[in-house]
Amino acid sequence: MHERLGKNPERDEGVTPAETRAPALASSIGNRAMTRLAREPAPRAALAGLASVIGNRAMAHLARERDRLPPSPALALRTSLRTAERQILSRDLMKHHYVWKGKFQMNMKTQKNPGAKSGLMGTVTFKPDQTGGDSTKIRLFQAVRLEDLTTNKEYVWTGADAPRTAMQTAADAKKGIDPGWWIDINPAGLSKRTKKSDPRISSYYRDYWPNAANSKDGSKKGTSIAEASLWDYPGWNQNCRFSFETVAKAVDTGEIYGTVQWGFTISDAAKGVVDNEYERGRGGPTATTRQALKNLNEYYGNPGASTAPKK
Amino acid sequence: MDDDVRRAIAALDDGADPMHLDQTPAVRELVGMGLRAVEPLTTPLLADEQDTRLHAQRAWEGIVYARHGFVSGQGFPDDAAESAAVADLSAVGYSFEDGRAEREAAVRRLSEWLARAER
Repeated sequence: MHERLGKNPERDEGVTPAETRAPALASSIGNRAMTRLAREPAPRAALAGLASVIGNRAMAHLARERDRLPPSPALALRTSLRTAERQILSRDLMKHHYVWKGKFQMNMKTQKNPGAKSGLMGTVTFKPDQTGGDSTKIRLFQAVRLEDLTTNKEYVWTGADAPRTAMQTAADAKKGIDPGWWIDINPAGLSKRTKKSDPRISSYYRDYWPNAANSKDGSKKGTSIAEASLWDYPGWNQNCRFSFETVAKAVDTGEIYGTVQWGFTISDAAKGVVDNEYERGRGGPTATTRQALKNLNEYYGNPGASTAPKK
Repeated sequence: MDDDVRRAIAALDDGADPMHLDQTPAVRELVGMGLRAVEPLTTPLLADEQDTRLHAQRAWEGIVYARHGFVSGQGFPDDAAESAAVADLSAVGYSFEDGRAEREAAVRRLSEWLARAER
């Protein structure tokens, strides 16, 4: 499943907004190439060629910057690309990502609050396509990780949230499992199952935070398709790194439609600096996310787990 | 206003969950208090601070969810229950992101909703 997507990176990683390609181009071609561009006998033609690489919006941005810059084409181009790079230091996650059987749309906006809590707020939405199986209920769950960059260790959850730490994945290089991930649930008020008749502890996000005004469950019946979404607001007032893998799954059939990986770093909480944002689509959950889900089921003794009550 | 409601309102912004900054221990307490917490929530619903309004909104929403059978970790009992909760929220139409005039209008509708709910 992943290999199929791996052969088609355009589809795997989704459409990249033009603005984000400009700094990528700058960093990839380097100063020497920039110098060659400046020496190009027909700089207009060279710039026109850029459009196919960085897109029309980035070209428009370059044109605006050129109007305000000294006449040197090399200096103008280099400075404008640097300007674009600065602008994305703190950026929203707003791309869409075609995955195995549908499309994720990110709509997470940066909340920059110097000296207070900064993070990202918004929605993650999944729309199945025609290749996906029908389902009466398509829902999202997500594996998450929070690293405290002050201690360079996993954030330690205590009190009612202690199960988040207890459920975390342990590193296993052979299995490709990263440490510190758990399924994003609210453990407050939950108990481990002690009787077979006890209800299953859900892994689905909206069973804890329905945020019904801003998110919903999805479905698919033939061409009748409803999106599934969640509303989230991770953030902190300490330097830290947030990582997520959001999974779209049919509750009734168990079919996985795809996942989106995303995250960000609060690198200078005092100044409200949110950076190193990323987002990418995948065909299916990583081994880490699968292990995190297994850990949840084992921790609470869900049906099918080795810890599930027999009576 | 009961003392426990007053204490929870005063602590509304304290100890937000880093994974979910809209959630605080006081939000959860207020949800558990049910309808008696709704009228006191109208003050933070009109607060100047966005996060305070967001926490108050989550508390009011949680009260509505619970009235329609929502249980954390289990969700709503069925789609009809969720639809009924959404109908209540839509009837009030409050959003912490709205301007002051819209929020004031929503809070008036919330008072009307509360009067109906308490009958």
